[in-house]
Amino acid sequence: MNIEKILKRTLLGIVLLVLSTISVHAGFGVSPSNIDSAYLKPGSHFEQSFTISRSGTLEEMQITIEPALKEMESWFTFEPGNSFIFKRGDATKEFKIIVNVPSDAKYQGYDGVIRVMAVPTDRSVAGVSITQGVRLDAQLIVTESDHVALSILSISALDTQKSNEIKIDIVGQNIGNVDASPTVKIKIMNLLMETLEEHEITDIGSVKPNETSTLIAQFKSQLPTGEYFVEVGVFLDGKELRRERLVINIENVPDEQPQEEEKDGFFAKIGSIFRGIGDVWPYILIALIIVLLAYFLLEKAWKRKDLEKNANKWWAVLLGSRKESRAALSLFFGLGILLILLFFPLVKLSQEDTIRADVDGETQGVQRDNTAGGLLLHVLPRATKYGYLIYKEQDLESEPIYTANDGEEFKVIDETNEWFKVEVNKDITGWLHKTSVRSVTKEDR
Amino acid sequence: MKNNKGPLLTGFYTTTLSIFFLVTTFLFFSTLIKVFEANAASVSTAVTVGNGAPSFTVQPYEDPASSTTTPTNVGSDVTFKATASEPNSEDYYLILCSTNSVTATESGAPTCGGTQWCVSSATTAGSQATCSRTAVIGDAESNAWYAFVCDGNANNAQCSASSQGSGDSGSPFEVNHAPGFTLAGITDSTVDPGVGAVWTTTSSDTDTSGTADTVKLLVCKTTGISAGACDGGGSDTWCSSSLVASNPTCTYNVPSVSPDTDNIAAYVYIVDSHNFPATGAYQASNVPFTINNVAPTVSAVTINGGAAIDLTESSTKAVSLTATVSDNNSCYGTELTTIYGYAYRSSVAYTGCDTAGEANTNRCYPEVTCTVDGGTCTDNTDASANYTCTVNIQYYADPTDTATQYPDDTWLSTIKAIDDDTASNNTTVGAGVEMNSLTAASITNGINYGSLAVGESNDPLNQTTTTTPTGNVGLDQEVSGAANMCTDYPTCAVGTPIGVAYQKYALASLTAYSSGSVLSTSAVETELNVAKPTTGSPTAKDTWWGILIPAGTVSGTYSGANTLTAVKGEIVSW
Repeated sequence: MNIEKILKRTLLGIVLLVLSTISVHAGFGVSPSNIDSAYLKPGSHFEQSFTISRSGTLEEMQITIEPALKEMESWFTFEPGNSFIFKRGDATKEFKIIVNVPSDAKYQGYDGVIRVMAVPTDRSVAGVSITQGVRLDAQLIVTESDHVALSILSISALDTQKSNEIKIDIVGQNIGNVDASPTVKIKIMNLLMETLEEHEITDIGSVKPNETSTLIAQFKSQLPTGEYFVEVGVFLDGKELRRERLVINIENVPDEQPQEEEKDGFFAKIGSIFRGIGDVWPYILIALIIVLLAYFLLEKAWKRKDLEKNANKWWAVLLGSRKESRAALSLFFGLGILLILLFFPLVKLSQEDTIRADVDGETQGVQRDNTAGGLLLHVLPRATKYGYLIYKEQDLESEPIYTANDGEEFKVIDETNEWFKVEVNKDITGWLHKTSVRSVTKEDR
Repeated sequence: MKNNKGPLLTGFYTTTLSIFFLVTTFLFFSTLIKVFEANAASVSTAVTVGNGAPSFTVQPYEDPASSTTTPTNVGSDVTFKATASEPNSEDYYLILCSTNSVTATESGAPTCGGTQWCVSSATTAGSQATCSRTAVIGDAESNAWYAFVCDGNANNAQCSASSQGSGDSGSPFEVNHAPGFTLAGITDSTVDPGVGAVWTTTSSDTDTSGTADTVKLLVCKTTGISAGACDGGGSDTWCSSSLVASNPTCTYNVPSVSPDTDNIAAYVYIVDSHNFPATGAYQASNVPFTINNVAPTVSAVTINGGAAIDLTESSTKAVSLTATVSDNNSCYGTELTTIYGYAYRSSVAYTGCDTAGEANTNRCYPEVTCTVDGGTCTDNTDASANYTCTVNIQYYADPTDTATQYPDDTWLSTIKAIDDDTASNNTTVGAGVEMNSLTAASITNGINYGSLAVGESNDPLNQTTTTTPTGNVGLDQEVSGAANMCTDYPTCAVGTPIGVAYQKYALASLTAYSSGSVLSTSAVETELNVAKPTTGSPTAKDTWWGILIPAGTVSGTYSGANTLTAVKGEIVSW
């Protein structure tokens, strides 16, 4: 009897802790593994991107970021948040850690960890499942001492046009805690490596602490068209940070490209209608009211007994005896009214486009809208890839001081037969040739 | 009535009288003139009959004029022309002599006392007579001439007085001799693009009449010159000198972008200031030159756009290496045969990763094939093209950021360009990039404790989880568990939950349950010490697990969740 009891209890007491299947997880990882900064100042800000990657079935996963940062807890935020979905099929995903050091942070070292956990969203719990994670270590030092550290990530130059300035893009990453203002020495050589020009540019701006910025060194060259080597040295406080040899082409000023046919065509007109949609919404409203009114009147009419007996005849159906045909008829009527209402504005839009097309394609002239007030210029859209030059003098051979983009506006402060004197910014004025002007707007002031 | 007829009659008589008077006067003077004429014709003159010498009606001239500015080249004709009348209507001869001496010949052409330049055939009186002389090397530069017209009368042939014409077309005629050309050469027959090929000559001209002749060198791409220039014009000309007194040279500046070419034909010509070409072996000889092959140069090298590299767990990461390759033999066509990219950890250095045999997926990716970026090299005057090489870096490539084995290293790229003559060059990126640590693992997704009775445990710990590193760092592991296992996990609202502390783990097999580490809800780092992968088959490590079923636990299927977090391990354990 006792043995039987024991056996029963034992059998009843068996606990099953079984997973239906035990297999190996798909891999999961995060790069980089640390977030470090040894030169933070109170009040500073920095960001660092991380890449989550995985292998295996690439099912949808819930990513949860669990910071354990002690006194730094409030300094850290995460993009796109502490929890986000790693979509099915994606092998990598980026997230960003943003650190805002409080202005009252003590000068000391701080450390903590951030756990990035990954759980499949459709995991059925059975047995002891394993949640997989990766730990990132955070080590920050807040210091009061200045530290200058600039790293030049890349140097590049784009081809340019003769008489335009040559621009060198310098991407700098400031891992120090003070602004870094590098200088640049540039040597231009021909294809035989013979030096033709040398330039030193001391003011190309600065890279702020914990930021990565592109600085632009630009200079005027007298070189003719051709292919050149450009040797760029970037210096900070006299120390060379990086030297790179590039290749640039100085090209001829291209002829004006013909206007795209599309501009004059059907699509431009459609575009005009959509651009003008804001002006015609009252007409659309009126048309809708008319649609409803028409439907209502038709319905009322077909309820008259003398008409109702004919309701099934084909002509009656066409005239709205049935609900469906009535709706169609009303809509058709409303659409007709809308088109009539739009008719005049459409004509005006079309005329305006035609005028602009003529100006663009042939005369390159100036379109004047009003007569009083200050002038505002809209740069003419031409299919040149280099923009529109504003010159120092009323002379196409003078030094270009600014390259305007399509659609940029400038205030006119003077005018001659062929030129507008425009204000590039508060301190700089220049001359814009009238062939580069799309339209002139006069505003009452 | 009388009064009416009177005036009419008076008018009639007056008119008749006037006409009579005029006719009478006309007849009188006509008769008088005829009388005088008859008296004059009647005067007689005595003459002597004989052969008369012809005489010039058009003075002799050279056609075209042969002058110091337009001399007649050796080998060309100088033609003399003149027209004469002949009193006896006989034919006449035009004869050009070097002296003012001529002898008429009965029934034949006259002869000169000195050198006879030329004599025409018998020409009808009144017609133009022509004779020509071909200038020869032995001619003096300036040659006086005396022209005569003579008849060939059978009994008494006569010549006119001499005439030397006038102006440029008059005497003398000028002969232009070919310049001397005794040597042709080139200072350096092999030149690099952008360098000048210089042809030299030994040549001069001895003609000094008027202004001394000068000489000019023409170097043509094909044979043949015309009017002092290569006959194909500018496109047929390598170079030409200016007119100089002697030994002209000329230089062809090979464009800075020129395909390398052997033995390019170059035909040399010397002409004088009258565009008269030299003769001899050197004239039109081929003095070829060769445009050398030069090694390409590599610029603007990048790796991953200058950004740190984040690898991809358990896979490869495609990293771009880019560069601009320039070749003064042009980037076009087959000139640039091979462009290789190399990616390596900086302390390995290019010299440790510049051959395929040095490949090591932890630190060195040599000889990655690069491809040209479309549209960056358009024709054979274009020197530079952009190239991109994609290197697939393994997930276990050596990291270089903080807390790694090589924190002072970076990853560098070198691009090597090799041309069709195996000339090569390479350039290394100006600044390397970090290879970031990738903390990654693949871990068993669950623990199967099996079927246990109350009070029973996995003793020794016999269930395992396997941690396989799938990044580029060695790993430790944090472990933690949910507070309870239960039959309705994660709610745990019914039954008899099993507390997390009943689960134990160990890093060694056969660990007794009593010796295992107690699992808790707080993450605890264990020194798993999984080595950094160095191949595609990394070494994994196990963790052993067990559980004790506490008394009072009702039977059922219990579930729970443990968390295993991969942690970058201590470097010494990698």
